[in-house]
Amino acid sequence: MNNRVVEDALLQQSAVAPTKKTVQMPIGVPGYTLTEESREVPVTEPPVWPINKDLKYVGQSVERYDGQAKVSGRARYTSDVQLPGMLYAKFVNAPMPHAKVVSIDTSAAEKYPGVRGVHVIQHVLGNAVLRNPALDAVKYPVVRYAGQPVAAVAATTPAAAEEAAALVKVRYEAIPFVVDEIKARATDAPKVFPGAADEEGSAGGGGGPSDVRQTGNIHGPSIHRHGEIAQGFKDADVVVEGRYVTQVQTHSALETHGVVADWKPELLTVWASTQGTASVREELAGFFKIPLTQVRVITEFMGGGFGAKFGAGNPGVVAAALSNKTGAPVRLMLDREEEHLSVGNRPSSDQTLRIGAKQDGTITAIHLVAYGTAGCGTGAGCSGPASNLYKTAALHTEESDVFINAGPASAMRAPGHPQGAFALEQTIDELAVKLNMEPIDLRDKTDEHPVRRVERQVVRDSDLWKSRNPVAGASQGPVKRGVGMAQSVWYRFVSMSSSAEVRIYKDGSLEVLSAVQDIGSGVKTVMAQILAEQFGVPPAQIAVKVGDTHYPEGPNSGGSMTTLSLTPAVRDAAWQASQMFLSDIAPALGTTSDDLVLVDGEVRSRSGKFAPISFRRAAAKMATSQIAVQAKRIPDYDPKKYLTYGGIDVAEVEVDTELGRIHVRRVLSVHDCGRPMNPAQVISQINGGIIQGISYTLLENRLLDPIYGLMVNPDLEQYKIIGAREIPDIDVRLVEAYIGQSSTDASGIGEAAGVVSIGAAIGNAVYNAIGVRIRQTPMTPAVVLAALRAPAPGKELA
Amino acid sequence: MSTANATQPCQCLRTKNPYGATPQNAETWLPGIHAASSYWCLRTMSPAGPDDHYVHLARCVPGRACYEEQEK
Repeated sequence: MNNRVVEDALLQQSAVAPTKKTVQMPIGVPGYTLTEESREVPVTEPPVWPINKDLKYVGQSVERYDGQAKVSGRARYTSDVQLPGMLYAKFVNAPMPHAKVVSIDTSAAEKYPGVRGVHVIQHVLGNAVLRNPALDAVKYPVVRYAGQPVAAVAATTPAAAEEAAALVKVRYEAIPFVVDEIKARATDAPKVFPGAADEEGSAGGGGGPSDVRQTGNIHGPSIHRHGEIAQGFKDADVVVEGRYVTQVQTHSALETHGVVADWKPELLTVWASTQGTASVREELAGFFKIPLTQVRVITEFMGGGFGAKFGAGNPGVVAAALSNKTGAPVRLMLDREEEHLSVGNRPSSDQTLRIGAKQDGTITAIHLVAYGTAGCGTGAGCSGPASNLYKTAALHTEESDVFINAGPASAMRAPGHPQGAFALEQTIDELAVKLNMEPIDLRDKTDEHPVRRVERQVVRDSDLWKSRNPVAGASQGPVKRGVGMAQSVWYRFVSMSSSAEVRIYKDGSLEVLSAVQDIGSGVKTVMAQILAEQFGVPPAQIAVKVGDTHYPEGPNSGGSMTTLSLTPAVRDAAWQASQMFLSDIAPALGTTSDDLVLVDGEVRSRSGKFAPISFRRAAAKMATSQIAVQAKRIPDYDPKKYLTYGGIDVAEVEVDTELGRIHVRRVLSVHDCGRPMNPAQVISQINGGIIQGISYTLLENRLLDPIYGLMVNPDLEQYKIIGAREIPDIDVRLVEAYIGQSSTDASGIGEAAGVVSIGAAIGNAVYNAIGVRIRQTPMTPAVVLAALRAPAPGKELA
Repeated sequence: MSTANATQPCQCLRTKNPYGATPQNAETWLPGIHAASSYWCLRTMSPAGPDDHYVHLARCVPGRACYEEQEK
């Protein structure tokens, strides 16, 4: 390979040239607040892009790069991977919610025809020497939820694996359990964990400092505050308070968790359904204590993750261990029941929220006390919206995790925020009623975010909002119509582990590579668009290679950070490669590189020394067969800026007051994500967020049997997910919001895309329709009817 | 407000956030995020650590029996 690294040349230049330059960047929202600001940026940065309307490929709704492969079935997901001699693995899962594993007998399974290997998940001690010697005798991890994997079997067929798994004899010693999160808070409830690490009775007997205490099954409270909360309420003219309860939601991605692991002596190759090829590689290397160079992770296509697919997980390490043991590739994909039980969920919440305000709408105090369960894990906090959406003189939040004997939560699309916004945005709506203010006017008073201010104007000007009757419950007849709005917030995460390589070949073909995985949000398409913009070649002609840790490191896809983290590296690599390319071909064209320019797929001479030639013909004049440039993400141009994104969702509902059914008829979604790199793909993400949010608000619910501690609906029949009939018309309005932070000025959308605020928007629309506030999800007909029967303030939860 | 951030957590503590994310103005909003973070242990691939207690930023700190120092 005849690679050239432009960075070396640039570094040499930097010894004599300035390292920074000043550029003018578009800032604000076109048509509303667009202006310019200067930024100091590295001299190696490409020229500033204008706003989208002045670009040819970026900012346009270019067809999805892999759309045809997906709809035609050519796309190869992890579950489609077939390797010669591949074995099929099946977990043995605990049938009870809390138990000690006394013994595991695998002899019958090992003898079963077709079985090639059995793996038992054993207690590991790590590097530490435990203070409690009794623990050394504990061979297996404690079972803390029904469905927890305890062993796995690998066999030549899926059926043989399943049948052999049933032959693994596990002897359990049941331990008292609790799956009701209210009962779990009682001091005499069965303990999910025996005691704090720094308390007597702890298995570990540690003693680490901690200021977040554990009391029984409660981890918390984690307290965050500013200002004097008591004074804030004293200063208030009006105080509103409510209790809001949200349920556990499972991710229910179409493709379940799973891997195909192929451990050869020199390399462990793993095809993984993951949001982070890098995270899977890092964990497998760390778990097995092998170098990163000996692990390769591939994710060609991904069938949904929503936050739950980071790291190797039990499927990853067990499949790898079985592959190592058997010398054959091992496929371990979870079934739907396992997916519901053991690989994550959105925690519940039980929030008491109190807000005080002056008569003019100025908020003086926000006080949130929240409990929630993340099963036998943590992560049930939900104070993000209360802490970050509105200006308040005083804030006090307390968040506690309640342990129960259920599968652990994992991150799920905007962790904590749909729950938090459900309470906050309904309380703000209630405050508006008490203050006799329009909900939008109240938010104008208390929300200083400049882009949401524009978004509120878009809402205010919309036909849907104008059609809202401000008098709650005013429509006639048993089916009542209402319109409500709610706001969302998310934050700017940047992954510096974001790199890309751009290659120009002598035949004129172009290629861009990064280990980043495309989880469906469309980063492949965006990468092609960036090269297209730089070289003037249509995006469909760009080869995009992603989802392989053999490529330059890519960001993990979570927290709405993929596009904003990676695209500047792609653009920088494309820009630098183009400059190298022009330098390379200039002598053959009888000129110098500063005379050359790439426009619309042609190389042109500024001085007119030669007639324009196509990029392809120009590439044939390259001195070598290939130019390759790798670039990595540089820090944001102005990293001190406090940047959040968000949006506003407006829901129109019809509430059948006789049947209790809520029908969401229309949704208006007004959102920002910096520079929309591909509006169609952004809209697609927002559509998905809205649909997922409606499903959460009205339908989905993990149900645990209190007697047996089992999930009673671990499928997609009894666990209700929204279908086509319940999906409303969704009108998405993108607000371009330039922030001057990188060479692409892209931001993220996945988290703020409707899923945060649609629940509260529905809640506010329901109140507008029937004059009764529903403070509980899912808003099933039974919940609606109960609220209608007990409409007195504070009694809606019945 | 938790001060656990000031202590170097165990190298085996995992959550979604550390995978390369560099939050800006973290002091402003991290409290609202950290309480929503789900953790697991690299050694056990579960929310319980090798000592059978739950793992968390506030728990996986020096002094815990199974604590492993970050490699420098």
